[in-house]
Amino acid sequence: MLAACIGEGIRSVRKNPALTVFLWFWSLLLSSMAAFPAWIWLGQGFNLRPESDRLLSGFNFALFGELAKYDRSPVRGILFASLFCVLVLAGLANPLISGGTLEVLGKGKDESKPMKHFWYGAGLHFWRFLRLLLYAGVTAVILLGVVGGAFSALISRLDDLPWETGFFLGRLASMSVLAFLSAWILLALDFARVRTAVEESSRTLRTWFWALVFIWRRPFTTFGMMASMALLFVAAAGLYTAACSRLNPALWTAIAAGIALQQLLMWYRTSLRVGLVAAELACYLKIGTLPISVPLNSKNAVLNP
Amino acid sequence: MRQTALLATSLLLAKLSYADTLPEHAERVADYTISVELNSDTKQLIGSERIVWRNPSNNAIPDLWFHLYLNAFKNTKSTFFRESGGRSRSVQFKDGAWGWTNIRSMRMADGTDLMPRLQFMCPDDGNADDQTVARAVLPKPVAPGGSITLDITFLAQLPQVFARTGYRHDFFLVGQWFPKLGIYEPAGMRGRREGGWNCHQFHAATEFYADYGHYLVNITVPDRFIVGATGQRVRRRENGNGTITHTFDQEDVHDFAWTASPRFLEIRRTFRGDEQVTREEYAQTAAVLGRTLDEVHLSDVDVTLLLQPEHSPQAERHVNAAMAAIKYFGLWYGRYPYKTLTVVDPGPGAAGAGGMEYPTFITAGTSSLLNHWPLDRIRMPELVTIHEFGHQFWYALVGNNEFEEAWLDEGINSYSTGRVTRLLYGETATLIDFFGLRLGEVDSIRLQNGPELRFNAVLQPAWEYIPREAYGFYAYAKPELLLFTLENRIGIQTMARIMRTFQERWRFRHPCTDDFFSVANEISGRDLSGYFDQVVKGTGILDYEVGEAASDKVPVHFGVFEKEGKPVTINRESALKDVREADKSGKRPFETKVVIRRRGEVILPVELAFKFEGQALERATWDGRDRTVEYRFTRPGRLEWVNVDPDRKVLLDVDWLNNARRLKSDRRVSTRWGATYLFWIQNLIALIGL
Repeated sequence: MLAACIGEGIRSVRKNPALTVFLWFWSLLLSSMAAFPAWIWLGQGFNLRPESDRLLSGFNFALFGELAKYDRSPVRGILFASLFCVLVLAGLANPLISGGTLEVLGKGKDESKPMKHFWYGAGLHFWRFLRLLLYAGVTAVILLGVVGGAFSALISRLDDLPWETGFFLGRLASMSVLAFLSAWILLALDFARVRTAVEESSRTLRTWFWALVFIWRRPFTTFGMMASMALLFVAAAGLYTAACSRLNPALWTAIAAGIALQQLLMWYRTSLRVGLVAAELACYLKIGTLPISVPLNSKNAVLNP
Repeated sequence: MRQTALLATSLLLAKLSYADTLPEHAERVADYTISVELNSDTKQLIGSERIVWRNPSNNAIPDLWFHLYLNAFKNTKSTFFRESGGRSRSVQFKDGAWGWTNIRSMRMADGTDLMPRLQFMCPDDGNADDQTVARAVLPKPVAPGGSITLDITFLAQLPQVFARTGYRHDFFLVGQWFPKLGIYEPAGMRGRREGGWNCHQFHAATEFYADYGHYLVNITVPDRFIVGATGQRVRRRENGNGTITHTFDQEDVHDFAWTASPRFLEIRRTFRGDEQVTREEYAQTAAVLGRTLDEVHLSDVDVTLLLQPEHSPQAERHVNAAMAAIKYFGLWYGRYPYKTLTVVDPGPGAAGAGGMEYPTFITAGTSSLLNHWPLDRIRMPELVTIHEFGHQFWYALVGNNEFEEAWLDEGINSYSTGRVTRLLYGETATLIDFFGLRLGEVDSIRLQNGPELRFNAVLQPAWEYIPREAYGFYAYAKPELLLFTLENRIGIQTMARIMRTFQERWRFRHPCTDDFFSVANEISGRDLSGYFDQVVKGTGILDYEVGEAASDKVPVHFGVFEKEGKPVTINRESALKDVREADKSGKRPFETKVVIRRRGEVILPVELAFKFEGQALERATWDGRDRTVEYRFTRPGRLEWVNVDPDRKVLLDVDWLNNARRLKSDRRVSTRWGATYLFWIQNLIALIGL
């Protein structure tokens, strides 16, 4: 089941190159809005200053520290503000992007005009997906808050023991459990969206709880899909790091190659994410378990646009 | 053959030169014989001490002043608590884990009870609730050159480790624990006009100051405890009641600290002066310092490392760092005169006891995370061990007043530590070297400097820094920067001789800042007062920058000019024609204007470098006296770049980025790092955007 779903996901990515390119471009556009002020700042700080050439051979704490000295320091506030705005924008756009993606992936054999499907799905699912996002956020705050609080108490007890290893183990356990819970919530959000899209259900709260249970009951398949995609990304990131370490950082060609590799990696990451959503869709359709009684809508937008 | 010649030259140089010699012993002013028993359940010390104090002055002294340091942790009204807000050395004080010292009795040798004559004093801040200083008025003054013997019993409650001292579980680091005399400074000592006691309250940012003497200390602990302490262990006696008494003896020290824990791994090594330093190293050192081979020869030292068992993979790192420190500090500043060195690794949760120095006894500080690759490339245990060992020279041997002139030990020691660590671990990755992330010694200290740091001075009492955290920069980092800047100005050999001479003259004594200046002026043969006044006593910052830099073709000149004594008129058209021809042949020169500015208050001569197209580097020196200077050049080529302090000798400069300017923009750095920033944001958006 796991391999079949992942295979289905990867096939969907291959069938929808326009979608992955569009999503990659969207992330590039958004990030550019936040990175542009920083780029200007770096240019003003470094372009005419030979001292900055030390940064060609690697990161240097002191030089970046000096960049923030004197009247250059207020720029940091602008950088953080622009980054914050972009992240909020990305979060708000999340339901649009998800709806569009699911619409394109679920369109079956009709592969014409994928972006038309994308915008149709984005608009169709936006409010329901936004509600699901809200539920996921509330669940995350409650769950992570409660579990994190419990771990804090445990850690403070461990800190009082004459056992330094316990000090680190406590923190490691806390981070692992919180990471697991975060993954659970993210997966549940994905599956809740898949079900909502497939069934055009408006009962989003019920679907949200269904998704949490669904993940809990099928951990191998659901977490397995996520872990597989994560592993594929880590492998690519390793290759990217190895390739970058071979480039002479002082040459323009190497800098250009480095940027190209970064964007290639980002496109790959976007493709893996699309592949994961497609795999989740395939998984849902294959398992076909419907613990909550929502009749399959014959006007299903995803299956029959 | 080459080595033999080097050795012979070194010997000749060494013999020709004049040198001070290292004093063998301190003048004994305060001797302590102490017996103390640790109650490991109540965390209390039951102690008795006999103090013999000799009056070093020509005055009759009517009173004695004592430090009762543990009373800093007695309640929230102490000066220490008020200043620290209950937080020190990155540790938050735990409510209920108070510490205090209670003097139970104080008698003179003839039985006179001094308890009714004992009162708490608050010489620094008038805080009547502070009980860290006490004064006992004597029935009869101590005559000049005379002595007095006191017998004191005390009960001390150790705090949970908070600021250097205390307990955590079954780990004890016992420092600042016994009633201890301040220093009576006679007139003339450290620039005093009149004699008087120097006995400051315990402040959040201050350390210590005491007289040299002989310490004989009996420490009784439950027999499961492993004990380490200042000095040599001369006896170990089982008492038959489940306790053991360890006796430690040490001359020529001004403090005594000890530790006890049943969990210590005890690792012993010996540093051997004949094996761990080569003949060539001795010869080179003697030549550089202008001393004889005998004078630079090092003694053997027994090193004991008391390590937490979970840090056992780091044992060799600690030992190697200690050995290297004994070697290089010894070679540069004179042999370590004590027979022992104890390095203590504080127990879990007792980080507040780490990174501290006592005579022959230091505390390091590490974490299990640094046991293995890749985090073992963070050199925290090495750096802390080397720095704290350095204090044996700058604090233990040269006993400056840490309350009033902390830079003399912390600053000089930071400079000395920097020299050793750069030598051992390299310039660019002194502190951190893993996954391509590097942090060098110079970068790490320069990071702390900034244009806003112009409101305190290096030379000021440690408790008067505003904000209190400024102490770290002015006592450690700025002195290191100013000493490295000085070294770059006067040369490493002169600097090495200054430091060596300062150590030789003031070993086992109490110098002040002006004593260091005198040695520096004398040995360098230059008057460095102007520099020291600005950077040690003054509050100003140092920053040079390139204000403007422009290169343009020389303008067209026309009008009436003198040629061979006759007036010649050149009209505009003719001048333009000449210029066009010069342009065609590429012979029209460029006029370059460069403005250099001094943004800071500190004035220091500085080198400038100008690079013109197709020409060799041109250098100039600017005295820096004006705030701005303008340079104009006419050269065949354009200016490529201008650089103030091109060799980066002035480490005190708060901003090196503005030291140089190129005329042609180079976008490689901003493109590379701008793209990297974009890449990381993209990753963040990929996480939350879909």
